[in-house]
Amino acid sequence: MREQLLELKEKAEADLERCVDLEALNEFRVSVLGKKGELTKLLKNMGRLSAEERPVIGQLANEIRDQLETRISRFSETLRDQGIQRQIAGETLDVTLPGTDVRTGGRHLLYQVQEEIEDVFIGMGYSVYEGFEIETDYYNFEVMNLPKDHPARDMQDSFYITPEVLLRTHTSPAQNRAMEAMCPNIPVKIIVPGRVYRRDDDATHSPMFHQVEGLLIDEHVRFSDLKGTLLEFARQMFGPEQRIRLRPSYFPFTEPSAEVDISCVMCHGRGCRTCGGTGWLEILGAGMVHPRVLEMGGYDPGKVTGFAFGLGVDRVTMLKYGLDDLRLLFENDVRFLKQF
Amino acid sequence: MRVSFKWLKELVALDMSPEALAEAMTRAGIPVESVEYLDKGVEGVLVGQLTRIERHPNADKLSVVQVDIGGERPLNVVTAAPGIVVGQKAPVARVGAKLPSESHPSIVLTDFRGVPSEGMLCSAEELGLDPDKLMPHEKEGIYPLPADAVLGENIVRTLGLDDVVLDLELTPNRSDCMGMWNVAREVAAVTGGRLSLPEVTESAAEGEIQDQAWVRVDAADLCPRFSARLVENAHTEPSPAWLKQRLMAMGMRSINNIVDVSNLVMLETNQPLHFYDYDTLAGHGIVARRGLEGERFVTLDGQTRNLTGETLVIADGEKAVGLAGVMGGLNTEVTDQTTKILIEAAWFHPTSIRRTSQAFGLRSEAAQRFEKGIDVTQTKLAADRAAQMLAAIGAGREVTGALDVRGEIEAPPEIRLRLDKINHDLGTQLDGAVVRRFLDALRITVLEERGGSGVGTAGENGAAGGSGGAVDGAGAVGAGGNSARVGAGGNSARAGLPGGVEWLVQPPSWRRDIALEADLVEEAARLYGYDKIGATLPAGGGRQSGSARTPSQKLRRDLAHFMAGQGFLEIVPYSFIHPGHLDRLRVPEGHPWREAVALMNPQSEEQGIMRTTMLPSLLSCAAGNLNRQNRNLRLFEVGKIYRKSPAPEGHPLEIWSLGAVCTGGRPKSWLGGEPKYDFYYLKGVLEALFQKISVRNVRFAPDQEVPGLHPGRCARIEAEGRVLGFVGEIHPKTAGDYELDQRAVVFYLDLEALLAEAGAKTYRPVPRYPALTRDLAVTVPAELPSQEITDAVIELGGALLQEARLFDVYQGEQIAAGSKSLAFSLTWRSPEKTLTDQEVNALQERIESGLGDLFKGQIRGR
Repeated sequence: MREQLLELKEKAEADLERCVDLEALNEFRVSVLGKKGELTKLLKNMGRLSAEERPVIGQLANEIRDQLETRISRFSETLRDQGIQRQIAGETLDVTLPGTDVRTGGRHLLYQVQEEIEDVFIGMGYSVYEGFEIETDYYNFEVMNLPKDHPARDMQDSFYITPEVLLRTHTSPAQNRAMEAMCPNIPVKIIVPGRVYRRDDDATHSPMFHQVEGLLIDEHVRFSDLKGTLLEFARQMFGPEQRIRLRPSYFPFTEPSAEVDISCVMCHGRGCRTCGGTGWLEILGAGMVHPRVLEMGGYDPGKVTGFAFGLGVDRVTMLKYGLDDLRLLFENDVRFLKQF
Repeated sequence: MRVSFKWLKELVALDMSPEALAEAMTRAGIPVESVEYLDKGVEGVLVGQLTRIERHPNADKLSVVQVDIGGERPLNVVTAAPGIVVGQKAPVARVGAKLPSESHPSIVLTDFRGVPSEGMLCSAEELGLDPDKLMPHEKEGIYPLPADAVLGENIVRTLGLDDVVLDLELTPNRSDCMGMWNVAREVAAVTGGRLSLPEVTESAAEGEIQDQAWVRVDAADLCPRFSARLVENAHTEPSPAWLKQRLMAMGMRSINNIVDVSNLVMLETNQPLHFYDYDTLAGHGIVARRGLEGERFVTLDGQTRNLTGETLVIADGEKAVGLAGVMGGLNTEVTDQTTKILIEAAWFHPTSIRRTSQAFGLRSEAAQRFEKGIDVTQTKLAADRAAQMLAAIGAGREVTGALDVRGEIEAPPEIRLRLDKINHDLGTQLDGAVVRRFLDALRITVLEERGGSGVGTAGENGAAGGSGGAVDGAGAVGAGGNSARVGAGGNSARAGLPGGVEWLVQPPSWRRDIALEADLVEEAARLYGYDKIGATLPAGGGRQSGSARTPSQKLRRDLAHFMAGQGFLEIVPYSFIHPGHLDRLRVPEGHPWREAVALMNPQSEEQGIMRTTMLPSLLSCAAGNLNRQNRNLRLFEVGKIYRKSPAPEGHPLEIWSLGAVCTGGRPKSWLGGEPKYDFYYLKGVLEALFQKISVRNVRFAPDQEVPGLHPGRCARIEAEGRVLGFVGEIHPKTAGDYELDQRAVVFYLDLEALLAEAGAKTYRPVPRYPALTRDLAVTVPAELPSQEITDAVIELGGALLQEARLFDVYQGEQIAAGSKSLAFSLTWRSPEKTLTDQEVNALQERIESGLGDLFKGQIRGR
């Protein structure tokens, strides 16, 4: 019996090596170690052995089984590795061929920039508020301290629908609409993005363009707060090194008023063609809300103060991306749109 | 407003370069747009006199000219200029001279066919003179110099080109700076330079004039002040050189001595004047009155003007002689024959002038000043100044006395100014003495001062008088020199407004823009310097006035990002369109798209109406890109459409919309499979979109009535009975009209409707038991919309049918003509247990028999 077992082991070890694949190996395993396999068959004769021999042979049989199992499992690993190697060798891709054509779309550059601006101010606690594009003379001019025959109305050549209704020339009318809606609550802390319209059409003017208005009304709002807020905006929008410069100016709805420059994004203030050698770029108008505007919005200028600013999204976009012609933004040429 | 630096220096002591002044003024709120050197770099050009002219020995068209340039040896110059004569004075550029001329930037010794030329005689163009400021005879040939020009003098000096012009870009509130004296006052306030305005001797109220002329005002509301002077023994002649040059530097052309004085005094005082030929005035007097209906008269430019009761006119004893403040009349114009001049200096109501100037399209220098509002106290001063200047240059003799009609004239307002208010609003910590210095520098009269540094009441700068005399520089604000500190972050200013220093002040008569305390705060801020004000952040404690974005704003942003993610590019077309688009789309009368809001004053028909639909924008953008050989397009827009209000006088509607257009397909690929951007592609995008924003129960119903869309390839999109929008292929006719040479598909959605249907996203448990998937193919009549079959399958399937996905549509062999086969993949699942084959078979049979009953549908494979 011992000889038979050792013979079986020897033969099995030799046969094992001849298995060409996992399937053959499995068949082999069954034929040797399975329920009806050779080892089982051989052990059926155990009963004929003496009581002394039985445990000895039993132990031997178990050892042989374990050894074979180990050999089979090790060989199976080898075969699997070989199979994978063969598979890999047979299915090499030309990884330099182009991938599936996935075409990206994109938001319009203007609205990417607008959303970025919105996000900066939302981060500072502002809410996005929207007004109407078709406005009344009252909201567009009167409550912005631009009564009829005010010379500053010349600054904004308007598209009229009727003598009393027009396309808003700035996002400012939303200031009063917001005040009406929120009065007497404070703060009024909003930004107003949107389309505005003026009769103008050239490389730097479009009859339709985009502004973001900002308005903060609260107790103790100061001019220095306006300056700090705009500096923060400029730095988030154009980089931490940005500087800003405020120059006295005039808007009927703010007092004091300021034109706000940022250091040139092209030359960082050294002076170049974009900034006309000055090192500064004018990007927005701002100021402390005029007391009459506060009054017309229902707020007492003796109790609250505020600041407001109006930013040209189109201009910021042009500066940020170095566009030389505003009309690119409205031609909707996909060769342009795809670039962003 | 152009400002001659040379002139300015006569009025204010200035020790700084034009550039430095420009910067200082810009920082103080008087923006200087440009600094222009009038000499344009001309160097080495002298006054010469032609002493001999000979024909060139070897060239017919050339002359050899001997030019005397004063003390030195005369120059021999070869020139091709015609019409030169001996004795004439001319600019001559010597060897080494520099010119702003492209053809001769510098002059070198040149040999002209054997004759060396030691210089060049110059034309106006070669000297860089502005042709708009030249008389016709000055433009052609060698520039003519006056006989008294000094030989050998630098031409820059002779022509007054030794000047620099600052171009002020005045804001509407600072129209006072359209007068040089006011500019000088402002410059003095900003730089601290000493002011020295010319003396004007105030004329006596009574004099000879009272016997010779009269002035009346019949429209006192429009003309509260009217002053006049008389000048006799007048004669016209060319102006002296200084006057010509001053006007030229200021951007005006010299006409003659009399007109030039009128213009110069206006430039000085900001008070427009009008000169009448006294002898042509019927009754030798003038009246300011409203026009009469049907009245006509001819303005200086030869145009006949129809007057109305709205127009303020100046008339003599019989007839209209001027549009007040806008333009004079031809009938009383000063001419070469004029010997006696009536000088008018009046204050006209800005609104009236503005309306008249707009109605007649006349934007004269005078009208521009009147309509912005001038200094009402200065009319007589300006008339006196003009009379005295005419006399001074020998253009006439003053008649004594003045006419001066005064109506109700409002004094400048008295304004309370609190130091604490300044510091609170600006976030500064200025002290009272500094602010007081600002006030003085600006000639703002301090009527009272309380709680201050003991300066006391002061009114010595009597600005409101305006009746003349030199106004001298008093309060000098050094551009950098003051003692105030920056209140960066200074919380003390937030502490409210305790009783502190305050003033009662009155602005000078020419500063009509200062009316409120806030205006004075700005004055303090700009003189202090915006730069010195700190940068702080608002102390709002993070309080907000609302959520960051509204649901509508969030939806729009989500949709835009979704569309971009699907591969669509966002476009931004104009909100206005050509009204012809509606005809192109064959929009029937009465259709809502016809309810367009039209512009009264579009720049062109292209922008005639506000769009009532996105279709024209989408199609135009697609066509434009196809035209540029971009064949495969997927574009979208989030924007508004506009419509008249259904209510009679209602405000127009603005409706947020999402629109998309696609055409072509994915370009050819080596991988094969090139999907077309067709109807089903776009519908698929829409279905994904609805899923993304949780709009459920969306139905696509055939619709044959949508303008611009293919009747057989168009669906109305509905949810819960509400129309969300449309999707469809472009009608072949419309495609032709828009020159789309390939099929295109569009959709557009009403975002308000969409927002109403967009559901909240809700959690449903993830399935715990496996699903069984079975296919089902049914043959039904071909014309039957597949949606009906799908609906029936779902209905018949019951609660355990999770999904019925239509995966195949087949017509052709093996299927009866007029029929189609639809194949569904059905997913069955129970939330409670694993379904058995038997259970699913029973359910599937229920569907099969149901379909048979409903549609005579035959189940394939049976």
